[in-house]
Amino acid sequence: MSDKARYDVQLGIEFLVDLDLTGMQHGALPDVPDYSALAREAEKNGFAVSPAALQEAFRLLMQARMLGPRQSPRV
Amino acid sequence: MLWPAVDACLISQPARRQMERVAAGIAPLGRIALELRLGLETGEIDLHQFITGDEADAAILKRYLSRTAASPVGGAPMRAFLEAWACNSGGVRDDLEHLFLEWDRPDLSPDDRAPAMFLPVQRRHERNIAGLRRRERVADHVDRLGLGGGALAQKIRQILGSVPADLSISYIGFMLGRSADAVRINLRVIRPDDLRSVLEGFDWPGDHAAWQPYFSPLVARADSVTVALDFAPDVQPTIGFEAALDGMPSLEPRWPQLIDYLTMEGLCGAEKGAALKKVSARLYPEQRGQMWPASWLATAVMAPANCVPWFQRRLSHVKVSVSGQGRASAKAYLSAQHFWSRGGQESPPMAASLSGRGDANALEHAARHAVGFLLAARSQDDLWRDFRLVNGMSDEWVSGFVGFALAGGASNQRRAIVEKTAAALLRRQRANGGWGYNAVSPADADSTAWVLKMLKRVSDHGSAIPHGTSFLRSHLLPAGGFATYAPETRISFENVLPAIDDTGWRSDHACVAANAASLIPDDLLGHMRSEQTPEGNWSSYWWRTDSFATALAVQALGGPEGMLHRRRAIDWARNRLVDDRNSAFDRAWLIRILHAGGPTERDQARRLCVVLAEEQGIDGSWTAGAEMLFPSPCAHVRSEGDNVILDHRAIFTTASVLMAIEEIGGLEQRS
Repeated sequence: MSDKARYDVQLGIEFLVDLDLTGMQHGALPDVPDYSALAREAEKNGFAVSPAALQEAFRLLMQARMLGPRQSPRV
Repeated sequence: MLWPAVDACLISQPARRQMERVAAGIAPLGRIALELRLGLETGEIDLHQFITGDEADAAILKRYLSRTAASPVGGAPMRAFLEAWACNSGGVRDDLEHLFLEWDRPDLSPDDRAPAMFLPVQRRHERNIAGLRRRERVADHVDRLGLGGGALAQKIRQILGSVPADLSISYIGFMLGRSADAVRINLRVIRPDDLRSVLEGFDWPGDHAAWQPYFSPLVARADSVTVALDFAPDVQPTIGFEAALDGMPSLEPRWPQLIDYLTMEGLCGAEKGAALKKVSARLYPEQRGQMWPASWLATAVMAPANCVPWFQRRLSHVKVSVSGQGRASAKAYLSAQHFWSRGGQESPPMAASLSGRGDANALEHAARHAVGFLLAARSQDDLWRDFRLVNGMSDEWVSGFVGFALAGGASNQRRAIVEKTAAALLRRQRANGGWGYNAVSPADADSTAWVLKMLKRVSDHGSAIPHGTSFLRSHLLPAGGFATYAPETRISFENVLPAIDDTGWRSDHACVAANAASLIPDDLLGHMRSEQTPEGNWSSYWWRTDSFATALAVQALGGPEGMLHRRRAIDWARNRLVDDRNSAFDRAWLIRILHAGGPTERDQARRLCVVLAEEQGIDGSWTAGAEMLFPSPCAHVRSEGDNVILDHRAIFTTASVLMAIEEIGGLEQRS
C-alpha cells in the first residue's frame, strides 16, 4: 500500500469512528456495496476519501474490534 | 451477498428480479431463505423470512407494520397477529419465540401475496404433559388473536389435540395464501419403524408405498427428518419430509451424500446438485474482499464496539414431498442471515429451583430430567450425535458413550431404547470388529471400547463383543501402552485429512487405555498403574483436562491392589475441585473420583453432586463442557495450542453428569 493510500485509509477510519448520519436522508445509503454516497458524506465533513479507502477502513475497524477493546485499527 | 453464490441453473433471471422486488417490500430484517425446486424445471422460487423473538426484531417489525400500510403480510387478521406478537400482547412472543413468513411463488400481484406463517409449538425436550400444555397455549393465542377466524381456531385446537402426546410437534403452519383452512403440522423425531403407525393414527388417506422408499434413506443421511402433514380441513394424502444437517456443508461430509442421494433418485438435477454444494459460506467483515452493503457498513461502525457482525449463507435443509398421486419431488432451502456478534449462545436458563427438596429427591429429579433430555436428543436412526470435527459429528463413539450411561438405569423404557441403539451400532460394526468416531472415520480403540461397554450392559449380542475385544487388543503397543489407532488402520477420513505423519495418534494414550482397561484388564491394568503421575492423575491425550481419564482409571483399578493408586487420585481430585473454572463435565468426573474414597469424601461428593444438580438447564441438560482436543496427528503429547472441540449439543456433558448423579445418589437400579 502506498503512503497516499495508507493516508486515505487512515482518514477513512477517522471519519468512520465518529460517524454521524443524522444529516443524511433515510435510505441514502444503498443496500449494495456502493460506498460513493458515504464518500460524499465524508467529503462534506472534511475527509476526502475514496470509496475503496472507506471499504478498507471498515475492514480494519472490524479487525480491531475482533482483536479486543483496547486495540486500535492499524493501517 | 447471496446472489453471487446462487447459480443460474437454480433461479431464472425473471424470478431473480421478481424476488428482489418482493424482498425489498418485506420487513427489513436480515434473515431470509429461498425455497428452490430441484427438478428439471427452472425458475419458480418461494421466499421465506425468519423473525426472531429478540426485542430488536420485534421493534423493527412493529415499526414496519406501523409505517407500511400495504405491506405484503396478507390481510387484517395476519397484520393484527403480527402486531400483537411484536408487542408481546398476552405473552404471545414469550410462548412463540420466533416465526417464519413464507411467500409462495411471489410473482402474483401485491394483493395476493399473503404469506404462510409457521409458528413453533413444542420445544424438543417438551413431551407428554409439558408438550400438551404447550400445544394448549399455542391454540389459546391463535384463538385469542383471531388468526384465521373462529372456525380455523377451533380446527387448530382439534388438530393439536389429536396428535398423540408422545409425538413432538415442531411447527404449525397457516397457509392463508392458499386456502382459508389449510394448516400444516411438522412432527419431529419419528423413527422409520414408527411412521406407518403414526400415519394410520391420523387416518392418513395416502399410499404408504409411495413414501416408504424415501423416509428411511433420508433418516440415514440427515440429523433430523421432520414429517409434514397437511390438513384442509381433514388430513390430506400429501406428505413431506424435511431433512436437515446441523453443520455447514464445508464441515459436514454428509451434505454432499444427501444431495447425491436426491440426484440418484432423480429428484435433483445433476447441475443443480453441483450448484447446491457450492453455496454455503460465512463472510466476516475483517477479511479482505468483503463487499458489505453500504447501509450495513454504516450501521456496523455505529454499533457498540462489542458488535462485530458477520453473514452466513448456507444450504439449510432439503425437502422431499410425495403428492396425493404418489409423485415425489424435492426442494432445497438456502438461508441468508446477518448476525450481530460472534459470541456463543448464552447459557440456557436453569431448571426450576431444587431448593426445598431433600438431596435424594433433588438428585432423582435431576436424573429423570437429564434422561428426558438425552432421549429427546436422540436422532431418528437411534444414534446420538455430538462434537463437530472436519469429518463431521460423531455418532458411533458418542452413541456408545450415551448408551452406556443410559443402560446404567434399570427402567424398562431406558433399556428398550438402548437396545435399539445397540442394534443400530451392531449394523455399524466394521469387518475388523471395531467402531469409529463416525461412519466416515476409521475404527479406533476408544470408540470401540465405549460401544463394547454399552453392549455388555444390554442383552447378548453374539460374536460382536469377542470380535470387538479382539480388535481392541490390536491396539496394544509392543513396548507397552495402548494406542487409539492400530498400526494397520488407515487414517484418512475419506481423504479429508492429507497423508501426513500420524505417529502421534498411534502412540500410547492413557485416556484410551483407562477406558479400555475394564474390558481387557489383564492386558492393561499393570500399564495403568505405571502411568499414574506423581500428582495422582492420568494424563489425557484427547482431552484438555485429566478428570475424565483419571476417573476411568480409578474405576478400572477397583481391587485391593489399586487402593494406593485410588488414594493418590482422590487427593489429586480434591485439589482440582477447588478450581471454580471447572465445567460441569469436569466436576462430574472429579466428584466420581472423590466418591471412591472414604465416608467423609463420599459425603462431600454427594453435596457437590447436589450443587451440580441445581445447575441443570431447563431442558434437562448442563452447559456443554467436554473439551475434546484435536492434536496434530504427529504430536505425541497434547499441547496448549491444540484445537478444542466442545460437545456443542451438551449431550456428552449431560450423560457424564447423569452417570455421576446416579452413582452417587444410588439411583442406578431405581431410575
